[in-house]
Amino acid sequence: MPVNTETFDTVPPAARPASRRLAGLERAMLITDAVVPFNVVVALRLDGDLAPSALRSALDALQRRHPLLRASVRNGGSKPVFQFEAAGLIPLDEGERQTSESWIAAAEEELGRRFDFEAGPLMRCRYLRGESCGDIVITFQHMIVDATSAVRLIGDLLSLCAGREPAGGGDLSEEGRLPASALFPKQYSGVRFARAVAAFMGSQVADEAWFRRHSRGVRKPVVAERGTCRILPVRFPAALTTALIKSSRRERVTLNAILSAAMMAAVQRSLYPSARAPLRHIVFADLRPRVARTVPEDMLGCFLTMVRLSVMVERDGDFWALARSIQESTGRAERSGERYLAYSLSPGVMKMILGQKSLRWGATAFSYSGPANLPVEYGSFELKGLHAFPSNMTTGPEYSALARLFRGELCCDVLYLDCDMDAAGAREIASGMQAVLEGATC
Amino acid sequence: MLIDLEDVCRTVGLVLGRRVVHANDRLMEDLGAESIDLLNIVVALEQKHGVSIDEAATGDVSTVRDLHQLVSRSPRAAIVPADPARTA
Repeated sequence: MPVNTETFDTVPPAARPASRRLAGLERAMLITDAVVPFNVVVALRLDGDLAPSALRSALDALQRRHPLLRASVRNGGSKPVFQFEAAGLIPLDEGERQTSESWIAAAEEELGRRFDFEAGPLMRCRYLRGESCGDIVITFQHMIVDATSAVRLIGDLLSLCAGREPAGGGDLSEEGRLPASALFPKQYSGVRFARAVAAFMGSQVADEAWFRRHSRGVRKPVVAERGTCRILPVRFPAALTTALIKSSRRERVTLNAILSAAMMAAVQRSLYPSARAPLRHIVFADLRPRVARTVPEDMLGCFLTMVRLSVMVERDGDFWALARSIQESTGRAERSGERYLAYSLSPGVMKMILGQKSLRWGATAFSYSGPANLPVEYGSFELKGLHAFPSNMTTGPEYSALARLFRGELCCDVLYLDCDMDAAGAREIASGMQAVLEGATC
Repeated sequence: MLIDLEDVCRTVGLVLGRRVVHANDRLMEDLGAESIDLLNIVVALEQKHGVSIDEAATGDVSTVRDLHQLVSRSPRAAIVPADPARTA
């Protein structure tokens, strides 16, 4: 359904409001953040030397360009609002890069560190500097970035650090002024929206009934009182990456569905050791190409949504059948407009999940965001690694990952909670995922 | 390799079930392509023109014209012998 026919209008400066109410998914993120910080942490691994002063100047230049990096959130009860031009400088903490894995501890700490919404800004940065190398750990509150805008922002930051002009350079004065939901197709507003909601709720109830019927006797995800986010960066070798791309084209299954299927198969083997188990799965959809006006890629904001699927996973079952089943379920959800409804209804859904802990949302969540085509060379330094992790909570998925294609390899950033498993358990699932993929492509 | 832009428009139209496709149409925004459609378009173009399209480069494709440029600069695919045991 093509919906995007206009360019993003420029509102005259005088008409720009100083604040706006948070939209559906943004409010859901605020509700979640009251329980557990809901951040996105990006780690940039650098070879070479980057002066801290160059990084400071680059952050300042980015903040001058992006209204959402100067915004804070006033949480006025049921009507929280973004307040523009209300935040101070982006904090930059400098530290020593003691080992090549120092960034992992820093990233895990950042996942659990809440932002001061009222003070802003909703971005902060840590620079772990070593000898001829360094790691930059950038933390965002999720409501101001999605995968598309985060990659562009990172590219701009690195260009500025190298003294180059960022690639974009368009007018971003409208950034943050309109939420995704204000640009949804007409059938997702008014009376027609109510009808779509009724259909959506019906499909969700049916899905839940299917899940409960088939999960009798199968292990239920445990809900702990608290857990800490842990991360596990995984890289699939270039040969496997190439084989996966070829298989994707031969079998006509997207890489997102292939990688999701591999994760679900590995999770089933490790955590649900019955012959077959229904698993819930969360997939993420980019709303940017699906709204009524073009949203530039360098415009910050959270233009994504989450759709939940239930899929039967059989131990040693046909991998390609599972991948196709995920692809078809995702396609059905997309065609029925679930991405719009899930965005708008997410505050209520999130309250329900937090209230009824037995509804642990998904056993797995996965998102392949495609190729991250960032330059590698930046004069005095080189970008050798790019990682991203969103926070999770004890009522969220047991195992999740974000993946991208970077420098010819599939990079899969796994996130788990220490109340669900230890590092060895997480590694076992990641190894299982690789084994499943190798088996499917040989 | 010389590949006709009109030919790429036709292939995109066939995969997406659209009669009219213009070079400047954006695949997702204007033509409503989903990720599986993009995959099917890439496969159709690879098969039709005997090229191998770089997955990393697909991230920069927005319009049909971008796609045409990508296909035009893609290398010819290696032809896999039907029976490797009989290669010369």
